[in-house]
Amino acid sequence: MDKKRCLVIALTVVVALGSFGCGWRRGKDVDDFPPAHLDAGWPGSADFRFDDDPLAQRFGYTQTLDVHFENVLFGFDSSQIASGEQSKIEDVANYMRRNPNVKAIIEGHTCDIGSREYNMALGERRALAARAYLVQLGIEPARIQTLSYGEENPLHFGTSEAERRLNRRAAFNMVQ
Amino acid sequence: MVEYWYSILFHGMTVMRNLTLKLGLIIAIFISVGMYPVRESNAQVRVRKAAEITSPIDISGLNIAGDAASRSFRQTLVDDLNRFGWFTVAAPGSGAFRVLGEQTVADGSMQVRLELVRTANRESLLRRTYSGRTAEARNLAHRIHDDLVQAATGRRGIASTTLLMIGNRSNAKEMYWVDADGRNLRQVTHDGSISVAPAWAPDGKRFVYTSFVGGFPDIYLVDLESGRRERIAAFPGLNSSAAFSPDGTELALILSKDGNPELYVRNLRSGRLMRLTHTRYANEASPSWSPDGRRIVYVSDSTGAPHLYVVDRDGKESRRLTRRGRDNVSPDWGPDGRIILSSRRGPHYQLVLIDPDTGEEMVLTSDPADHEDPSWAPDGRHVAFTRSSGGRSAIYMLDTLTGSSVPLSRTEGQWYSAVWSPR
Repeated sequence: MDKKRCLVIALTVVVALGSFGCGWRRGKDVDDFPPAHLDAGWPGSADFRFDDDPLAQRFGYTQTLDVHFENVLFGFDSSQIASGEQSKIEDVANYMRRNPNVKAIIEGHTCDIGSREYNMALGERRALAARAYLVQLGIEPARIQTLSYGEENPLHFGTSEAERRLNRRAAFNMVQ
Repeated sequence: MVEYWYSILFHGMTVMRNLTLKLGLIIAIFISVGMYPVRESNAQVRVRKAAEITSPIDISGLNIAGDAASRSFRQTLVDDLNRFGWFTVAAPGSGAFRVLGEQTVADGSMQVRLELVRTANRESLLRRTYSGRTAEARNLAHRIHDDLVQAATGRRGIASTTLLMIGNRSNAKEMYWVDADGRNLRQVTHDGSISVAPAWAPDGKRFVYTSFVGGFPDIYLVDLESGRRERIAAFPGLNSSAAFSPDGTELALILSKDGNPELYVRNLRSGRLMRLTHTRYANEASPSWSPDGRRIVYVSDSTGAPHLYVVDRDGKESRRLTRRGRDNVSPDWGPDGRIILSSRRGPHYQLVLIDPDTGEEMVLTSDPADHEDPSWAPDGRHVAFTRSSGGRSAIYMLDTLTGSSVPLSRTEGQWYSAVWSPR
């Protein structure tokens, strides 16, 4: 990303946060997820072929750990990580730094509005956005898989906005 | 016949829209199902009354036996004729068409010898003898219905086609297979998992879909005859929205293996994978091929909300197709070249027909429910879709000529994502 765009985004963010009276804590660029280094793609993705058994390329794990983190919540049709949600991902990053053998599966979810197929992609992008931030915080990309459920696995089945808001989420599963 | 009506509808729409622009009139559209006005729409469409399109047919000249199988045959034929919009069964002695002949049963097999006659000029349009096992009386009736439609209209009926759909009555989201009249429901998968985004292969014998049975959303190819299932895409991340090209040699699909959900085309012979979109800040979904296989319509939210885009098969010249509606999703490119989609108009998703070359739109539904995941029948006239209201969802069949819809799923539970089989 060029400096000009960075400046424009930073200014926009500062002005926006200022106008809502929020604290700007870390100077993170919230309008640009996933950041540019995701261009490198998944580790080894260039080597994948359709006829391989690609599940073997996904990391294996034998147990899901009993560790829980807060879900990162998203706006409607959005996969941007709001500044108020960043600390949830930082908690995950701190845990993964302290436990270098632990890997993360990030689930991406949407509310039930919109098409199921579009929501599969939207859920994936939410999980990828959370992944990108973990990578930015220094966690190795090979330790993080994404898993989009789209709208197929809601936390709440109601149709109120309060419930739908909680369904638009990225959730963290720690595995080993 | 269909082309004729559509040309009238689309021509009428253009004229009316120009009128609207000039006079600043806002004319509400009423549709026979719901009688609710579409407030957001600019496209002014006159929906045809069923009587202007359907022809009365007199089948009293077809002698049918009285046993159970024969009664089932007769009822199925009458239901098909009344259901699929080309005919209505007329009182004996009246009708624009007449069916004459005899149906007999012997030794577990059924034989039907029939003739279709145009009443006005006594022209014989079809003369054929059918036979089959009595256990398949319903299939025989479907075949005869489709032949009658073909003989009278030049376009084959769809009573003998089938649909795949997803149902949750086992508490998982499994694939089901059902006849076009909503009967003969069969469960295809028994995975206790989640199924998404089914699509037929053009041979009508295989389908692709996304399943979580392996823990991640991967694409599988299922052969309905052998029951064999093969995992054909399992990259890290998302593998979804697979769609066969019309000649069956390529598969459009959405993968996130390069860091973001993008549209790809895989050549099924060489295995070569070609990436068609490069939108690092957007999602792609729901590819559907044009009938000639040269273009693909898909969903992208690069403007911040999902809209339809059309891209050449080689990835060149992607252009935005939809401008109206808060979001536009689930396109299905029909056999006549028109695209049906689900568009958020006001509080609900409605079904909209769009001409990919002119961008002309026609809103087909307007009742206060969500109308999603439309799928064309091979006759280019009917569309299966999910209708959701009050937390219940069911599959309906829409007649795009009359605007009326009837339920297709008949069983308890939630039903959605129906896809109509090719021939």
